[in-house]
Amino acid sequence: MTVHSLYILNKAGGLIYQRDFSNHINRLSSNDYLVLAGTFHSVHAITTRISPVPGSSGITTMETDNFALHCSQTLTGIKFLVISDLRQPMIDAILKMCYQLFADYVMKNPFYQIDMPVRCELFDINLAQYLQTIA
Amino acid sequence: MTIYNLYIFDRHCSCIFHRQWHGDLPEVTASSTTAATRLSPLATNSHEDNVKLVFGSVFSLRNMTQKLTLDGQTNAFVSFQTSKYKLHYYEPLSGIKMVMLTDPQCTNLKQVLQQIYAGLYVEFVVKNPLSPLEYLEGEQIDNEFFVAGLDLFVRGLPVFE
Repeated sequence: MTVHSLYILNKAGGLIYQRDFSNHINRLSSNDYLVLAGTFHSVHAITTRISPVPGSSGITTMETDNFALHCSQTLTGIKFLVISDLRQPMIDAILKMCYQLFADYVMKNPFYQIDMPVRCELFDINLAQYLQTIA
Repeated sequence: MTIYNLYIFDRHCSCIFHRQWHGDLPEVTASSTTAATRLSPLATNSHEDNVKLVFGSVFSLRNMTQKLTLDGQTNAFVSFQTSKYKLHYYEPLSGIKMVMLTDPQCTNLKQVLQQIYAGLYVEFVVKNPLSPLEYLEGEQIDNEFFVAGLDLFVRGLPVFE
């Protein structure tokens, strides 16, 4: 049961935060991460259109052979993506807690500019602490 | 539980088969024209556009999962889920792509897609000397045995209602 990484996307699909929490997931170049975030943002928008029944949301969960990717979009358009093991429980709580930490340590930081990459030490520390408690 | 659609794409990314059992195509639903979608130019996607969007999203997610691997193992895209539907994906070694849309409560359908590929597609399409090796633009699988067999198989599944 591991959370492998967390990505935060702003409302335009730009990557504002990326961090790996396990050594198992392979590292990509920072450019690749930006491309990945942009791709996911567009696919998220497309998936609302291909729904066979009206009124669908975008992707909430994606499964692959080895991991699952969970996405939650806030009302302000920010997306939190968590890559975890396939059997990770309480994923909704984890996403919610990430948002709470983001609100507390990033949005309430007076030096943080909206939609720009997140560089807040307190956010890093508290996020790592929280994810250690659930590991 | 329901099965909505099945799409089959060939190696050249064109849709060679599509069948729908449930659900409305986006352009015929009146309630999908909410305030947000009415403003968008894509609000009325035709069937062709819909097929392209399905392929586009599957193709992008497949490439994404190939990049993100754990411990260097090969990683294949299996499915994704939204609030209203679930998309299952299976790609055999021959490079065709099979996509099935069901409702979100559905369990993993990889086995079912494998069975459709091995039991129906290979038997009735690949082994048929009259079916073309490469489908032309807009050409679709029109083999009666395949269509009838698929219908029978899908309607017999426990997840089909």
